[in-house]
Parts: sequence; structure tokens; C-alpha cells
Amino acid sequence: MIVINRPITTARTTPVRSRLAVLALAAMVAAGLSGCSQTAIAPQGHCSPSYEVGGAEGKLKVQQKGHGQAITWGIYVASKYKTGTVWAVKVRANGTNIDAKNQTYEPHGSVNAARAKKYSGKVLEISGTAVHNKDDILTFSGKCTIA
Amino acid sequence: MSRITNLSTVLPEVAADFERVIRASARPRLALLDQDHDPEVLEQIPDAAEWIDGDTGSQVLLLIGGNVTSMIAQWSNTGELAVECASALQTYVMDERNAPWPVLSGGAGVAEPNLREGTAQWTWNGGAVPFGHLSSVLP
Repeated sequence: MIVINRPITTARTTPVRSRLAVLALAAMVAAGLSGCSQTAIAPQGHCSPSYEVGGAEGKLKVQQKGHGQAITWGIYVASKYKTGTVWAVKVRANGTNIDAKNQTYEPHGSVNAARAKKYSGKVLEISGTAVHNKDDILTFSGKCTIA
Repeated sequence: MSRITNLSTVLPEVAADFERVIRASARPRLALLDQDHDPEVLEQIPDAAEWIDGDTGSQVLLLIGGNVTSMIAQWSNTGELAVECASALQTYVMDERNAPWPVLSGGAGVAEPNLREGTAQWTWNGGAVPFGHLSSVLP
């Protein structure tokens, strides 16, 4: 599911023309337009064998072969976002940060088997933002239970 | 007390193997976090408390450029920590290059960090070199 709101004026004295695209990865999005606030609640699934959320703007994919196996994840976006985008991603397991990325290319990563075993049955959460051409903001989050 | 140290100080062999492929501005560092965060650590890792392992009360982090990755290995377990760091750095380098690395001479494939008989090594099908000696098998 994707919600694109545009334009949004975020400041009273200095209007900022901005496009805010919510990269859905979310079953429910309540976009509060006042002050650019928004709430996105990701549907929770199971990391194994795979978990996927998103839409035309992009997808978050997670894969885990089975219990205690390593987990791989990646974010794959529409071609327009592949360049000129700054990504900030945080990965949490059971609420504890385990990985954080700030980079200019589509993020992907892994959770090694030792950590997957440690957090088996707990929730893996991947969330963050992507800023494209400075004023086009995507937010995303996804949650799945580690096998 | 939490602290941040250059990788080359803690694991010089690992740092040496990556010296030519990680740009200087991305300078790999290791952070040891505990419940006591000094201002210098908080300046670089503002959300330090959110990285602490609830079971151990501490956490080792690898910092590369703007990326932070938590380590399973404990600070004192040098061999396992070296392999885990090398693996994370290898992933970082491959991401940055969008290509496999390190590709070995003679079509031997791509080496992987492993702990064999207590020694941290780069291994591949049919061979191995200890950390710190990777350049000897690169083209």
C-alpha cells in the first residue's frame, strides 16, 4: 500500500514544497497531514520462509530458510529512487538495535545464524527513511517473527 | 566505561587486510558499550542505550562510515570478534563496490573469513591465509 501526499506545507513562515511518499510496507497508514505527521503500522508476519511488504514504490523483503538460520533482507525500490536517494535504516531484534545503515544505495543486510538463534521467536523490525532529491521522503517499516 | 577505538588498534591484522579497499573517511572503529556512556561515545552513538544487549549489559559495535553493526562476539574473544568484524567489513566493501571481494588470484574464487583451529583466516576452496596476509593472494 502506498500513500503519496503532495504538496505538503510544513512550515508557516517558510513554506516548503515537499512530496511525502509513504513507502507502504504497512497495512494501515493514517497520514496526519497537519505538521507532516504520520503513523504507519506495519503488518507483522513471519521471517521464514519469507516476508514481504510494499507496493509499486518499493518492497521490503526478508528471507530465512528455517529455524536458527541466517536472515537476509533488502529494500528494492522503483527505478526513480535508485539514484539520488539517501537511506537511513535501523534494524532491531526484540527491540534492541542490531544494525544501522546510512548510505546512498538500496540497503540490504543480513542477520547471522548465531544472532537468529539468540532471537528466535522474537520480532525483527526494519524501519527507516529514504530522502530522494532532498524533498521526496519515503518512510518504511516492516516486522516479522524470527524462526 | 564505554569506549571507541580504531579497528587498527584492536585488530590490526583485520584492519590491514581492508586498508586499501575502505576509504579513509569511513575509518572502521570498534565501540565497547556498557551502561556507563561517556560524552565522546554519546557524540558518535547518540542512541547507545538502544544497542545494549539486555542479557550481558554490554555490546560491541563495529562502526564503518555512517553504518553501525552490533557484534555477537565479546570484546575478549579476539578470534571470533576478528572473524565477525572481517565478515561485516567484507559485506560493506561488496556493497560499496557492488561486486564480490576479495577475488583471489588464479581464479580461486572469493575468500571468506573463518575461524579454523582457533586461528582467524581467509579461507577458500583449497586454501587459507591468516588475517593480515590477504594481499599475498590477491592479484
